[in-house]
Amino acid sequence: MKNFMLILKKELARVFTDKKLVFNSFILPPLILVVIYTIMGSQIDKLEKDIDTHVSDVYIQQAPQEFLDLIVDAENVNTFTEVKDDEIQNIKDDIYEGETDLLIIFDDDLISKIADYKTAEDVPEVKTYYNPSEEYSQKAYNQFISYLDDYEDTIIAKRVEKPKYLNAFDINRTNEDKHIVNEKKAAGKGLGMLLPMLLMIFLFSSAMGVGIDMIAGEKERGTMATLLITPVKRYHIALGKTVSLGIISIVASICSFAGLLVTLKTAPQVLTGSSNIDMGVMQYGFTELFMLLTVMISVVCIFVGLICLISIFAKTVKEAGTMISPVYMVVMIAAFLNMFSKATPQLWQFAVPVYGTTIAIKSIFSFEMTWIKWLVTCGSSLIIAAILILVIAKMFNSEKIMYNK
Amino acid sequence: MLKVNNLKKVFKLSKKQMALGKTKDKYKNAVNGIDFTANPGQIFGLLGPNGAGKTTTLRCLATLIKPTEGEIFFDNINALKNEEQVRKKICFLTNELKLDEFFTPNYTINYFGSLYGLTKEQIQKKKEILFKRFEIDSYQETKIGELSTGMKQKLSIAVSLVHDPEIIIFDEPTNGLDIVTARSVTDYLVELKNKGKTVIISTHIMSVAQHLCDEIAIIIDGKIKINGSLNHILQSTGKENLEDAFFELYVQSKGGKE
Repeated sequence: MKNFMLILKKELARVFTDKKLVFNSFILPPLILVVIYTIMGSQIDKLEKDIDTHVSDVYIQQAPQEFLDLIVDAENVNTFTEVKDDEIQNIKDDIYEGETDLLIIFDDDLISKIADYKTAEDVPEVKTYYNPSEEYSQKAYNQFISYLDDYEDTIIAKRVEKPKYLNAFDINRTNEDKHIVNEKKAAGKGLGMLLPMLLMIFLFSSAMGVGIDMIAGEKERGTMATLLITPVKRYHIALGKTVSLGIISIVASICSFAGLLVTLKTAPQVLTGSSNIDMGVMQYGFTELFMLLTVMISVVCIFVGLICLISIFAKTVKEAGTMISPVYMVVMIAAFLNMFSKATPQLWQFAVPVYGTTIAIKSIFSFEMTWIKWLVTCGSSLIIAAILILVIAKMFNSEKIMYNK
Repeated sequence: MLKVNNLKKVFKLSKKQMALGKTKDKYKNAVNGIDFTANPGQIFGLLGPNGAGKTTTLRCLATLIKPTEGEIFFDNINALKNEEQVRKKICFLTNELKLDEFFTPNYTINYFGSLYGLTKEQIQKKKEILFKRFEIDSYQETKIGELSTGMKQKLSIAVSLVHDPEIIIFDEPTNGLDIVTARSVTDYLVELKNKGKTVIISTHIMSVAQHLCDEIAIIIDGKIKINGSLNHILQSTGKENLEDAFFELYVQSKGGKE
């Protein structure tokens, strides 16, 4: 075990005393995360504000006076009510180009037609034209559909003797407790959407950068051969390399996780899809944090095992990078698969390597993780990792793999 | 003492290697039944052209690869059954072996000394001797990446000798070195021999074999064609110098064609 510790210390010293490596592996990723997501968040805010404050150009033809009275106080709208027939096509072209937002055409003599129609086919029509691919146009449409609904309600109210009976019942007029929700869970589910996937990617990518160099790089540079001629057991070399890489990956992931927490403060809408997420209610206790850390450590063991194994087969760092890319894709797919799933996962799903860990992290964030699920997740990951480490140790003994150039 | 009996190493060739070697044979006999003995206080040289099996033989001796057949004994210890025990008694040096350029000579020698199971005091004592001998003293806290090729080679030798091995195996000791460093290395090999160590080198350079080795084994196509002192080789071949003797044996082994 002494030699294992020596190799472990040397590998850790190699990374943690190299200022450039420390910056690139531990500081830069969370920094980029915070900067990029904060910029994205501010851009989203800016876009929403821009849409809200945009003054829409709305052309209305043959509008009844009552309707015009209804929209007289409409905010952020320029209405043009003198629209001639020969201008219609030009307005439609402008809507197509995104230069005008909405065109509303009322039937000629709408009031008389409303009063006189006998059958459903004769019901007068109001035509609207807008561009759903333009945010400004969509906003103007939504705003005016609401006015048209109000206008229709006004007309219907005049037809009946007792307009108050137009409604048979109201929904939730006085019921303020209509939402029966565990706010912690709801907020956690928001977090659980994107974060597990991001965490898995951070864990893998942080192990990948250092891991490839640790084995394939050493093979390529000839420093591995120097180590192999010492009397150290190959198993200790394999263990020293994988455990040190595991520690480095966990530290890098914690740094990235810290970056995510900062991002949740600066740009929650980017990570959770909602700027209304209440971070205050998500007070994770020791159990959740313990589960999260152990689940992360166990999956890192698989990642490290995979990266080390592939690096052993590769003759150069470049080759290792190429060989690891498909594995990285598989990890990303496994992490993505569960992103949009609403179904309650079965227990056996927690045992599926990588995929099970994503589900577990999601469950931890939404306070739905149980100890049995935790045991299945960590247990399966550690069994796979142990198998990988045994294979790695065997590969270290293979002269064909270690000395084949 | 090192004793090698009927050493054979067969490599399975990949399709690419078969195509490169223009052969249909799936297997290559890199070493084909060699025997020799190297004694303490002696420099034993394996002389042969590229691809003759010198490096494969030395790698087998260094326990880096397993022979297909045969036996290797270091002071009566079977190297194939006691790899880790043997690795403590030997050192293997080749130009392919490198040191991590991020670390300093001081850190590196401490690290490898610890891996060989030496105490701090033992490492310190050995370090002082080796650093002085190879003039690494003033560079001991400089990163290896910043050292010259010659200095790196000297440090490699120092690192491989930190555990005071009984048997020194050196693959092409002067390859790629400038004349000054090469001389320094060969001088040190003589020093080690004079201290009673067993030194085994491989080389394709006639002058190195002629001036350095007490015993020479000429190896061609995985087989030792002749083995003995320089005088014995010259007398057996009837030639006046090692180069002529080598080519006499080489031509014979190729069926009269150079």
